[in-house]
Amino acid sequence: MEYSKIKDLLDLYFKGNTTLDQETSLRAYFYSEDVDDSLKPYTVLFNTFDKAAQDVFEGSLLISEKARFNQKWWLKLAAVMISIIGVAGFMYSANSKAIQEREALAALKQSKDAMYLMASQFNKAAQRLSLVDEFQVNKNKYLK
Amino acid sequence: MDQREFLDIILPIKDSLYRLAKSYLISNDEAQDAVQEVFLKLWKNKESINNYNSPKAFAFTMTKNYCLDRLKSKQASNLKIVHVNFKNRTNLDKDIEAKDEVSILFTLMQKLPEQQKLILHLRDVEQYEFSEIAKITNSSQANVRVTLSRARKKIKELLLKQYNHGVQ
Repeated sequence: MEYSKIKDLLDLYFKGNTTLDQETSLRAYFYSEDVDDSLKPYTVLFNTFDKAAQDVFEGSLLISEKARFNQKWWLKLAAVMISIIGVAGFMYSANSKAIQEREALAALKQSKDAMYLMASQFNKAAQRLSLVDEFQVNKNKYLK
Repeated sequence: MDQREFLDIILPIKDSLYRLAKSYLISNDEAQDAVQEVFLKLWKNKESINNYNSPKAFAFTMTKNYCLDRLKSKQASNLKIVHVNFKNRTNLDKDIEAKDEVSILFTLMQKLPEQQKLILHLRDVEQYEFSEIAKITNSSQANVRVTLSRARKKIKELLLKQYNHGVQ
């Protein structure tokens, strides 16, 4: 578009008298490569509006209370599940520890019993040894 | 207004509301929160929206007021004025330039009086007809034109000042 026409449109634009179509052609002109030097400052204006208009809302909107509630509900459920799994896991590991402990205790008892048995045998044998002493005493009576 | 109507009338303008919020709050995240909040409020009160002249206009006004509240509130004092991922387009050189220019223009726009800024945004970014803008801002079309003209001239003045300053 020629310079004079754009200049006229710009004047109209600043007076607030352009139609949407005219504004679109202004925008198109300032987005093109060959902007007249005297009009360069305005490129910022129109290009910025153009850019700003392309900005869109990203992400999802939660519009109902129900949706919010549901989300929290799921979160709660997840938290409860995790804690249940955690506690169960802990209990399980504690349980298995108890089994090991019981096995160890049983082994200890067995070896203790074995020790007692051995000890009592020793005691018996020691008592018998006193007979040998007696024999010694009697022998000394006669053989001096 | 039932769910259907709400989805038909209010949902399509979510991008417009977002852009409006962003023109006030600058930050992407803040603007998204604002839109989310406004939508929740609208949804809760969807039965009474019909009492207003134009539900769309009501949504815009609500967003505007919400943003102004945010800016006044203490929370907003921590708001960073940073810019912000405007979508890229084909012309790469121009895009790189424009990234800074976008922030320049937006800062300049913050200097406009409330009504001027709103109308400038509705016309030049959203490209609404004067009749629609009149409805949203609750004023006459003649009034909208006058305010728009003032806003554009003011922006032009600020822009040329900046531009000349940059050159010298």
